Amino acid sequence: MKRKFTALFFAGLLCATLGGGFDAGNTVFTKRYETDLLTDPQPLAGTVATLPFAAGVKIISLQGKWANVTATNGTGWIYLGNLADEKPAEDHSINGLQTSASATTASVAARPLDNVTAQYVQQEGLGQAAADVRWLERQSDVIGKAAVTRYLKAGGKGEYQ
Amino acid sequence: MKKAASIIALVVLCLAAFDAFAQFGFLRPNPANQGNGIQPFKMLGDLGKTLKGASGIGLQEELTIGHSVAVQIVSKYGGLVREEDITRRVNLIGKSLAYYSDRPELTYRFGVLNSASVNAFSAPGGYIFITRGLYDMAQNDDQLAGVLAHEITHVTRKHALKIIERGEFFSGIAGLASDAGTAAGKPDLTRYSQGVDQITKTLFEKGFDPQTEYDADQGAFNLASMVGYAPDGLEQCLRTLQSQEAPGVTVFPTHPPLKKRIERLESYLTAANR
Repeated sequence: MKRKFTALFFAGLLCATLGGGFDAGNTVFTKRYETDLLTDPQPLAGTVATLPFAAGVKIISLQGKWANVTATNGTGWIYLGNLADEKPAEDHSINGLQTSASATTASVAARPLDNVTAQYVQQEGLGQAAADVRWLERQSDVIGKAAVTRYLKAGGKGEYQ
Repeated sequence: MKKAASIIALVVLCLAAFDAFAQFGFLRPNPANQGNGIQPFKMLGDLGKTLKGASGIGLQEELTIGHSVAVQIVSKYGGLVREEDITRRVNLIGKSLAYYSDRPELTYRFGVLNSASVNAFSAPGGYIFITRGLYDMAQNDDQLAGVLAHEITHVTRKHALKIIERGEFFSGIAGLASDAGTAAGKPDLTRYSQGVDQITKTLFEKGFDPQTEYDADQGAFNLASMVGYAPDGLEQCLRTLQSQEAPGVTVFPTHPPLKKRIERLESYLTAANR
């Protein structure tokens, strides 16, 4: 009985570890609205196809931090940082927020202090802190994707390593 | 009969292991939970309910709650350091990490709090703060990246939202927030405030349970490594903190002991170098 319980316990643990991951043969998922499937494992390579949000791709092989994958519309390379080992669950469209890559920063960045927070701030007497947060949003939101990409390139970070 | 019992046991073990994989903290008796009505093993029984709850708060609600929590953090920690060069630096490092995080489409904001204490916080939706004390203590971009990646992981894994999901009374937040701003909708502000207070109380006083912090450390290690920052940036930062701990004084009082966190981070590095 004890032996059987031990076997069952390890079977349970095995269930926990079958979470996939970035290994050849596993299916992983895109996590951006648009992810380019590239001809070579480098950021400036040609594009084979552009994959949508949460598209499943199967890893054929790994080369450093790049994965050679097959998707429904072709085979190519994707930087591992652009993939998730679990399928992203978020559906932003149901919230009336961003539904496309181009709308992402603009819609959220332009979001004013919404009604609930505004009432909360007033009730709690947090006007100065709310003004600080608005200042932060302005400072932060001017650093968009282009600035981050320049920073990554200059520092040899992300897919530019 | 025996066979049926074995099958049931296996299913229970699989569910337990799955939950442990998702968030091990649910299964551990946590001193921070004593007296607040949270029963870890009841959580196991309510696995289905918990998983449903995890998707019960939509993005709009998350952003609303996060905004309020961010305002509370700024208020509690001396306001914001309004220096553009410092703010730009933490945003470039933070956004370079967030770009490769599990939720890259969120709009992240990184700010420095005008406090000499050494701490860092995140609010749902992507607001992340470090204190001036911690900013000054970090010796390079790698250490800053380690700290910011830890906070980003709290956001991407929705650790703070899971606090209010654990509070049954707050199950109606989605409806409250989504009704706001409409003529018909009259949000119950008292109830909303209770939910925000529940998060800030955890952030400022109780802290997340240890497993949640270890989870954020591991996520930080993976994310910083992926983006190309030194994998031991967070570990270096914690070692600096450890060297400044005086007898009887605990740095990061809302976090697990530094020694244990450093040991775990070392083990990740060892495993990665194999």
